[in-house]
Amino acid sequence: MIRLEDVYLAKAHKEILTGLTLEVSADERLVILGESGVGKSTILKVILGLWKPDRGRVLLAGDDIHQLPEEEFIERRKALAVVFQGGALFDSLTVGENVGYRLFEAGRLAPAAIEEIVREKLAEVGLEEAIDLYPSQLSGGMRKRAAIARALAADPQLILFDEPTAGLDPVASCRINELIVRCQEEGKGTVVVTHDLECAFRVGEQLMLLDDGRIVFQGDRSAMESSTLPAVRRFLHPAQYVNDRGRQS
Amino acid sequence: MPLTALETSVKRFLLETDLYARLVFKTLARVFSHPFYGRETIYQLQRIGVDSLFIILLTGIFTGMVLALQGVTVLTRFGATSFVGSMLGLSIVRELGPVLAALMVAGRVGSSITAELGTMAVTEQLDAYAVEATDVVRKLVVPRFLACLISLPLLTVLADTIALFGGFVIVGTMTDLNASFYWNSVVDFLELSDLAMGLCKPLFFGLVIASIGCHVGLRTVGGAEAVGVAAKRSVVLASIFILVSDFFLTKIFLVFFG
Repeated sequence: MIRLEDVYLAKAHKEILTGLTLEVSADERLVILGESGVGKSTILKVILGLWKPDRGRVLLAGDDIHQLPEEEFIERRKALAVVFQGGALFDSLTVGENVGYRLFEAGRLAPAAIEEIVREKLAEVGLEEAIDLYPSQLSGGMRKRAAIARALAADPQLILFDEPTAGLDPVASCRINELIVRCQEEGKGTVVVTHDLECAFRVGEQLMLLDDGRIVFQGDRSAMESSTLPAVRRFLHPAQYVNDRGRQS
Repeated sequence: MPLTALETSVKRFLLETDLYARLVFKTLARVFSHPFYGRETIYQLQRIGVDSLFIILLTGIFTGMVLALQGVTVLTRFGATSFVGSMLGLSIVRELGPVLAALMVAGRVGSSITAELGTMAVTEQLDAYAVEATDVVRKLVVPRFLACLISLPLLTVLADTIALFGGFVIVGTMTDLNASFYWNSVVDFLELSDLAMGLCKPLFFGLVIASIGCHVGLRTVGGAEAVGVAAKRSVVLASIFILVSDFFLTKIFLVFFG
């Protein structure tokens, strides 16, 4: 469904992606892991066409998104939905209006039908009571759940999650992980970008480790745990790595 | 300054100018095409126009009063007190009304537009709009642009009127001139070209305030501090643009209408 071919991207004179190649199918359960600042969220922005790579191609359903006419690209991008790190709910709209935003904008359904879908999606994430609240009245976890409801209401094939558990307490994180699993059970593909191993192992079938702007590992959980690659060892056992460095210095 | 730093500054300036011009053209192109966000435009008209009323009226009345105070004092020395109404009329309608109203709106509205869009940029709401297949320029920029374009001429007319009234209050208390003489002298010296100048300038200033406010807001990168810096930058840029363009607009008007 999505293919990134030899993608290079630099921002503010810093190389972020250096020859990244990656393929995501519509039923994928992919997790992209990596330390902060290695370019995980950048990959999502490149996939969504929000950032144009300096070099390389981004293919969506076989076509380079930057060669497609704008309207055609926007239409194809409707197969994707994204849950941004902070939720990115629209401040001026209620939770209900946020969740039904894409449906309201499309104007194909009657308001009553949209409201029914909105209530159903909010019930799925346990936020039916919050339908008339504004984003500023929600906690961080509730905001992320509302963002998941918004993604689900758009009925996409693939949902992209940017650091879904970042900044949440363990209970809220667990709830978000279960919601991602439920999305997968409903037949949605998921790409999760995170540095949270618990989240990665719960929701990911395929794990990728990003280091220095490129994928240095790809495999399932057991392959990752048995990997001898230094980058993987360092990511899985950071305390040991930090202690070793401390002793050397 | 080393050459590379100079080069970088020039490149950055050219890039910003290019992006700014693109935004203005995109906005103008979308004003006349569907879909049109009518409710959002009315909401912005209220926020930008109606909510600026108090500060505009306050600015207007005190400007008129102080100008009349100075006018009466100076013109009395030459025995030309009877010209105070025409002096006030010409200076307020042609120059002070449009410029002061625009500067007040730039401070109040320009900063708020930038802060609002800047916050949306740093909290990824703009990206979310794009992913939800919404044209950010059409949804966020066009309503603010139209609201500024409609509001500023109306606010300027109100500022002019209240400033002339403020002048009347001072002239009435400091001189023997009666009300009808004052108002007649205001109207008699005003020509159609003065009124045209007084209404065209705020249209242009409205465009400047909205476009700079939106451009700087949409380009905000970083966090809360960046939003504050962007808001300040937007007000400074808009104020400079207003003052500089006022000179050239006046020059153009004088060439064509004398």
